[in-house]
This record gives sequence, structure tokens and C-alpha cells, in this order.
Amino acid sequence: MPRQLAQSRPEEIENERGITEIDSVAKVTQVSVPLTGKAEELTELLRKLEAARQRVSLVKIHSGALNFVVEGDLDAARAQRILGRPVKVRSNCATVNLRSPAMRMLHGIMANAVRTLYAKNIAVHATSDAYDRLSLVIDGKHLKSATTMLKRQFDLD
Amino acid sequence: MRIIVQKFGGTSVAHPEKRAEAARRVVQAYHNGYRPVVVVSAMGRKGEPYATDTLIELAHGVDLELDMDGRDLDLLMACGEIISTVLMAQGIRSLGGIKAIPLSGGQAGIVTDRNFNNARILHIKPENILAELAEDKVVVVAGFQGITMYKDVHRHGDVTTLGRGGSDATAVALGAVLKAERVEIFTDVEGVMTGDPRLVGPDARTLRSISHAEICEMAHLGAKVVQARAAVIARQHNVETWVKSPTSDSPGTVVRRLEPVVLEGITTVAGVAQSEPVARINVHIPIEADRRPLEQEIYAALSVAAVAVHFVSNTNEEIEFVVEREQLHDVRAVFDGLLIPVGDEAQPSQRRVYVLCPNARSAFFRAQVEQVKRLRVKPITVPVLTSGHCIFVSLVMGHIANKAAVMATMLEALRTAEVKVLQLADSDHSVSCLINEEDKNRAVLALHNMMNAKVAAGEWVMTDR
Repeated sequence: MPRQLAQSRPEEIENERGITEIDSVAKVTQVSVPLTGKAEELTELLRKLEAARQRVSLVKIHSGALNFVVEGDLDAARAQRILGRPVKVRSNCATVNLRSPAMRMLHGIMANAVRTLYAKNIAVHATSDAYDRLSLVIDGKHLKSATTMLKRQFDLD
Repeated sequence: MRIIVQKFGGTSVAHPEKRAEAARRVVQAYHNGYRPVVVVSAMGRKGEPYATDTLIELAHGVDLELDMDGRDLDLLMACGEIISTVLMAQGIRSLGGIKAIPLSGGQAGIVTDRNFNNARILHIKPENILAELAEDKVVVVAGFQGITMYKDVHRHGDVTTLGRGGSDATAVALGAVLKAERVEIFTDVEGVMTGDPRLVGPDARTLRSISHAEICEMAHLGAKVVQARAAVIARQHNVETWVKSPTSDSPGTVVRRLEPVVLEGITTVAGVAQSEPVARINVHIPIEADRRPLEQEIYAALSVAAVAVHFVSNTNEEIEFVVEREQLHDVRAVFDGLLIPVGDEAQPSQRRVYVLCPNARSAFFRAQVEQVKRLRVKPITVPVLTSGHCIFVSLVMGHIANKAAVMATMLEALRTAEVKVLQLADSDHSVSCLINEEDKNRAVLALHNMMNAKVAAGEWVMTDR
């Protein structure tokens, strides 16, 4: 047994500290809900989304608005019915996820990502991150070119 | 050969009686039919003679003004663990009849890149360890360190260190390469807990089990029980890891090989974590059309200053993100008076120059403004708001049935505890809230109580049910 292990090819233990994978969600809708400043407003809105069984992500609080993304299509009329107030909806978006096992140790990822996308005139509508990914919401029509460009930028092509 | 890797942290090997207790654990495993490979940290904590921080202070004490070379510092820091290996091996031998051999990281075959002070483990050549195990010896390996490969330009085979908590990474990596039956990480607590007992009191419970995905999330969100990199290695190589106390008979927590069990419609929770202090940065975008160049230049400047950003949240009106609090000074320095020209150079009337302003009293900022005025361009001052007193509190979950519901529940609990939520972030296994540091204790307690109440009501289940 020891001999077998000793002869085996060394196994890579830790991944490269960079972007290791880029994937995407092809169809998402970005929603922006104006806030009035009422104390319980955020929880009320989230409870309405819960009741409507909407799969939300990239939820962000901004001055005067709650922004989030839902998977699939959500038209403005339905969003308004769910949330009980006028909302802004950006349809036909896509999410590009840049993944790394050590995202929070890396610097320059946002700089590289926005430079790459803006050079091709691709707008970034929203961003969000976790310890292992950075997500960018773009127009769905640019998904293929954005993914190609980002893979090239991060040496994954 | 049934191999077990047992890792003992600094406090577990700090004093002779602690080392004796650790050695007894090793001998017990040996008598239970295992071939133990022991990983040790440097003895004790800051102030104690051979602790890593003490060695760093020793080096800096030579000349405070002189930067220490990373390679030299690693060579020095690695001594702490090497001393521990020799004493631990001697302690094991002293219990009678068992052979033991201490090995440095390099002797144990741990090969890293040349990123001194925070090296990445490339691979491990297990020949030396396996040969010693075959001779029925307990192998004691210095944690937190490795060695670079011998190559023509770097012919020395330099000693490297793996960064804070690196001994956990050593143990898990050895477990992966040696195909160990289990890895045991002995620590100050009885296992992975549902919350910090200093903040939530006796309601904090030791989990019997947790998934790799959950412990990765928890470690990255601030729980200190296992080093985050070690959690990633364990997940990547599917290493069964036990977290336990050396002074308790409690079995501790097993980080299991399986991914979280999903019960349709039911949220599975693992615990509450809180981060170290972070700094929140907010940059207002005065003209929506200029968002792109501003964003580009701001992130480029941060990249040059080696500042990593997270909790990123951009709109057409503002750029907001979080950095480690230690880096706030760097952010202020890099933004102070930063000029960002926008518009067509050929058309001076269309030209705008933004001047970033984290501190309106800065002489450099005022000089930059005057310089722009001399170019007959009206400078646009961009206030940069910074707060160095934030943290994020997180709920870690194996499965999130409905993220909106979890967020609403967390916000309700925090509002009841009079905690203001500044921002949110979500992932597949967590929801985090950015809050003011002064609210930390109340926030962690409120979220932990909320989690327990939901579990008691049968609406959520614990991951180790």
C-alpha cells in the first residue's frame, strides 16, 4: 500500500487562487422596488415575495429602493400585483457568475470584470458576491459574448 | 493501514501538561489500531516564548523601520512549529513503547508555491511519511509550513508558511493525500457550535455533524473553529474531519462527506456566524452617464492597492462595497484626491474631471482641485463615505427553502432587537446582514434565538437532526 501511494502522481491540493470557473443563469428579471422609508417595509415586501413563491437572489438595499433578481420572467404588471406598488422591471437579463474558492482573498476581480464588459459596451445592472463567487447581472442578449470575453480575461478559454 | 491525522492547536500544546494530554490522545489512537500522523501548531499564543506572534515581534524588534523579507520571516516563523514537533514526539515516546519521529513541513513532503507568508499547497509527496509509518512510528509533522520546489532559479527549496490557521490546512491536506480514515482537529471548543457561546450563552449547542458546504460557508463568514482554506480543501478532497476538544470525551462534530440533506420546502440551518470588523465604503455617482468610467477607475485603483472588495452593490447612483478594516487606511489613501477625467478630450466644454474626496481637509485633495481648476475644467467633487465600524452577521444554512422568507425572518428579528441593517448579501447557503459593529452582541443573540424558535416550532430543522 505505501508503495502504491508513493508511486502515484502528486495530486494538486489547493486550486489556483484565481477565477476557476465561469457559469451563468440565462433568464433572470431584475426588479427595483421604490421604498418609502417605513420601518417594516422591507420585511413586508419580502413576505409578499415569499407568499408568491418567488425565487429571489442578489437582494440589495439602496437609498430609496430594494433591488433583487428573480429567476425566469416576471412582467411589471405581475410584479406590481405581488408587491402592491409600482415597480421597475428589467426583463431578459442574465447572471454571469465568476467562481473562486477564495474570492475574498482576491483583489482586482471587479476591476478586470467591469473593464472587460465595458470595453464591449456591455452594461452591468447589478452585482453581488459571496465567499466563492461574484455575480454580475447583464442584458441577456450579451450573455454569450460576455461569457466568452470573461473566460478569455481570466484564462479559462 | 488505517491512518488517522490528529491536529493539535497552539493552546493544546502550550504547556507540558497539555502536551501530555495530547500525547495520550495519540497513543490511544495508536492502541485503537490507527497509524497516527500528528500535526502541531506553535506553542501558545502571543507573548509566550515560541508562539508565532512572538517570533514575528522578535524579528520586527531588530529595526521597526526596516521591512522584513517575506522569505526570511517564513524561515523564522516556521521554527515555532518545528519546536512543537520535537517536544510532541518526545512526549509520545515518554509514554512508553511507541516510536515517534518529528518532521518539518518540507521533510513531510509539503510542496508550496513561493507566495511567502500565505503559500498555497501545490502537492504533497508522502514517501517520507509512509516510510516512517511502515516502520511503526508515529509521525509528528510541523503544521503551517511547506517548502518550495527546487528549481534552477530558486534552488534553495525555501521554507514557506501557509497563513493564519495554516496548521488546519496541513492536517486536512495530509488527510487527503494519505487517504486517512479520519482527520481530527483538536481545538478550544467541543466542536462546531451553532453560535459563539460568548455571545449567545448556554443556548449555543455543539453540532453532531455538518456538511462540507456548510462548514465552508461558516468558516468564510467568520466562525473561527476551522480555517477557511482547510474547509475548502476538505470539501474538494472529500476528507472526513472531526472537530473536538482534547480535554473532553464528547465526540465533537463530524464534517461529513455528504452534501446537505434537502427536505422539500424546509429550511435546514447550521448556525449563526459573525465577521471580524469591516469597513463600508460608499461613493456617490453625481452624473448617471458617468457611472462606467467612475466604476472602472475606482476598481482599478483598488486593484493596484491590492484591496479586495466584497459586499459589492452598485447602482447608477452609487458604488458601495466592504473591505477588511485593516485596509481602510489604504482605501482612503488611494482615493484621496484621485482624479478621474471623463468625456471627450478634443471637446474641452464636454470634459469633466471628478476628484474623489474621502477627507475634505486633506491638503492633497485641495491641491488636486486647484490643479484641475488651472486646466480650466470645473472639478466635480465626489464625497467618499467610509465607516470602519461594521460587521456582518450571517445565518448559515444547508438548504434554503425560500430565501425571501429567511430574509424577512432575519430582518424582523433584527428590527425587534433594534439593530439597523445596512445591506444584505445572499448565497446558496447563507444570508448575511451588514450592521454597525456596536450592535454585534444584540444581533447575534437575536438571530440565534430566532433560529432556535423556528426549529422549536418545526418550521426549520437543524442540519444534524
